[in-house]
Amino acid sequence: MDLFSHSWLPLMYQYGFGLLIFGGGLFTVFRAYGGNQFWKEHKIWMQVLVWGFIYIFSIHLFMTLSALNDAPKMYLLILALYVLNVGILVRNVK
Amino acid sequence: MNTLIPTTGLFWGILTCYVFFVLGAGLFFARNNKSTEDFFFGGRRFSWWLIAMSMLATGVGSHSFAKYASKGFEYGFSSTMTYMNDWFFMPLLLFGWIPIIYYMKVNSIPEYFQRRFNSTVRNLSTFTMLLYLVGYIGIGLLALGSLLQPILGWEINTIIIVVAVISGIYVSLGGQTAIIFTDFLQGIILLFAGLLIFGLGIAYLGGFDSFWNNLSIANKLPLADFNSPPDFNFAGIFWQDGVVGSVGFAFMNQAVIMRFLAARSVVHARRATIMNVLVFLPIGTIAVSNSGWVARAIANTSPDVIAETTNPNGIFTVVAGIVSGSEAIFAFLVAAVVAALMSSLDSQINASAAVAVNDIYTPLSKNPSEKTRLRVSMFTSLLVTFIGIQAAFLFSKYGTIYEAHGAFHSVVTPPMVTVIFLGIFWKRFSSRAAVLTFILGGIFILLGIEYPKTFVQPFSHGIEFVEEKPWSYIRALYNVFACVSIGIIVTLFTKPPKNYDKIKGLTIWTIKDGPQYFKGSDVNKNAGITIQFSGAEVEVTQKDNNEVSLPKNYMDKIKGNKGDLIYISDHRWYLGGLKSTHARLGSVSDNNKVIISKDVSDHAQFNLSEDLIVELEV
Repeated sequence: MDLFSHSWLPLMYQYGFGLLIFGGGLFTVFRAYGGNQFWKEHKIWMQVLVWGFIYIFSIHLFMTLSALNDAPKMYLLILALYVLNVGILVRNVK
Repeated sequence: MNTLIPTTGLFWGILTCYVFFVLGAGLFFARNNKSTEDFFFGGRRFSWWLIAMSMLATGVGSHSFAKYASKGFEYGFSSTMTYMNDWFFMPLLLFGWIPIIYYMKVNSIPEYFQRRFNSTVRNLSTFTMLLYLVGYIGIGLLALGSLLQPILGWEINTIIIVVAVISGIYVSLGGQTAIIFTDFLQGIILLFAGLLIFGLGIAYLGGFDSFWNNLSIANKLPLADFNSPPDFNFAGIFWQDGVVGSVGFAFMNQAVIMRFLAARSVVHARRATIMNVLVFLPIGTIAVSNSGWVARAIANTSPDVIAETTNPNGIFTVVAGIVSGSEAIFAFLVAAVVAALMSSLDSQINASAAVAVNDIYTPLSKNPSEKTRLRVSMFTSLLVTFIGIQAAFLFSKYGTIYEAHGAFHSVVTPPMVTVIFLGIFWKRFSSRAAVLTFILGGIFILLGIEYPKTFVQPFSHGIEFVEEKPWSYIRALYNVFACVSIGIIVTLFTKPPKNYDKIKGLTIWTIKDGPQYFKGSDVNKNAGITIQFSGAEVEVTQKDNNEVSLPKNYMDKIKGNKGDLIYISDHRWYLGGLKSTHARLGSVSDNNKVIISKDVSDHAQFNLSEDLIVELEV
């Protein structure tokens, strides 16, 4: 059973277009707020934004790998990622 | 009348208690409403965690329990994809849209359009916005009707009317504060109930391994197949929900915007948004979908328990009836779904009333008093609920709720989303282009509906054509393409303005002027520490001027100047800002007391036996 169009193709499409939209947004904000000045004032927010992208992508990636390899234990990895995410946000976003 | 799932007095007792609890909350918080700012924005004073949970509850309506559980039943884990594709627009939301609406004190999207463009754009957007919100209310009511019908056995229209009347009354009484606090509780209840049904379902199936092994590989994949079937495919849903829906929900949904505006500061609105998307939504998506996954696993092993022909729209209640094992738990699960509906319905009703009062009643009437506006707001909430009932009746003719909602979203939102987006991020985007995006965009959308093979097919990604509902989701891409093209072409053919003074603070490129506008004078960039003091140090004067005067030592610590904006609050964090308000710093107090005007004291409802805190804003 060919699952490419049900697994990797939508993943690549979503995060390909997603990266364009996200990267374009980040670049626009960076420029609009004055570049380095923005980085100085809002460094932590930028880091959280990039982290959020990696985090959501990782969840989809692990879910896909888990389904294709019949590896339900990969959900423990997703759970660990979720806990790490909560920790990072609670500690850093103030 | 056929009651499919039997119920007794205990079930009705629990459900009735819940309904009275919600109505009671409305009455309790009604005393906080002294102006339309309180009624619609809760006085702009709430902490991020309250806002985040209430945003979740607003997003997770009962339509979610119907929509995503039904797709979970039909297709498995890919029912989660619409909750997990909202991150791409976050930079623009957090640093573009939120500061613009907050600092520029934009009360509604149409008002933003008036200030950014002109009154024609405002009128066009008011119409679109009300259509969008009333549609949302209609979908929510219809979803709850579908979920409750297997239990109550009533006609679906009767359920819709009963629920709408209860929600309309409590929103009309309580306003935004009631919504935020009841949403917080309802958010917790619906998350807990959603996870409880998952646990019970897995136990029913004999453990996680059994659950996992009874699903096919396709059921376990997180994204749908790229372009098939026509009623649930990745490409269509990515554009309809991930792009148009995400922008529509975060940038254009008045209810969500009112949440941002109810936050105590821009930073709190940003934190609430981040926490909602990265922490609460992943749990929310499991909560609303898992009954469908459990149903799929049961149907794969025991088709005599759940048949393939079961109506997917009501699958949540079917699974709850099978796995709950006790009537009390079943009643709790049903109450949670009612909670989910209430929590999104209330927000949409309140938001619709805000648009109607702010953008129709106020411009048409001659300086109405605040009391009149408040009364009109309450009446409008009831009126909007009535119209929402009619919308629900209309949607009930459209197959599944998921498709009805998707089709509605992909047609109504693109012109508005395009104008908001180009308006915020392109200084040159002109008023004429905005008007034509609405009008010509609307015409092209209609052409796409009438002649789909000519207009929508080039964007179809190979998705099969279905005569009755041609390209329900992917047409969003065509619609956006048409609207954006019109906006860009017209702007490029319009002479650019000589300067952009009129739109200071209203685009991301001019947002730096926002804080100054918000404060009304130059921003104090030397803010000191937050100070805490005993309520016994406070003296309330009879003045009616929204001022707080601090002793010199406190003024030095806070590094404040006369006229600076401050946030003054009860020190107990768990109140979430309920006893707090915004005020301005007055002159240094001469009797070593913290002097608060009656206006500030009344608004914040301080308990002076508790400590208070003060911090500088902006």
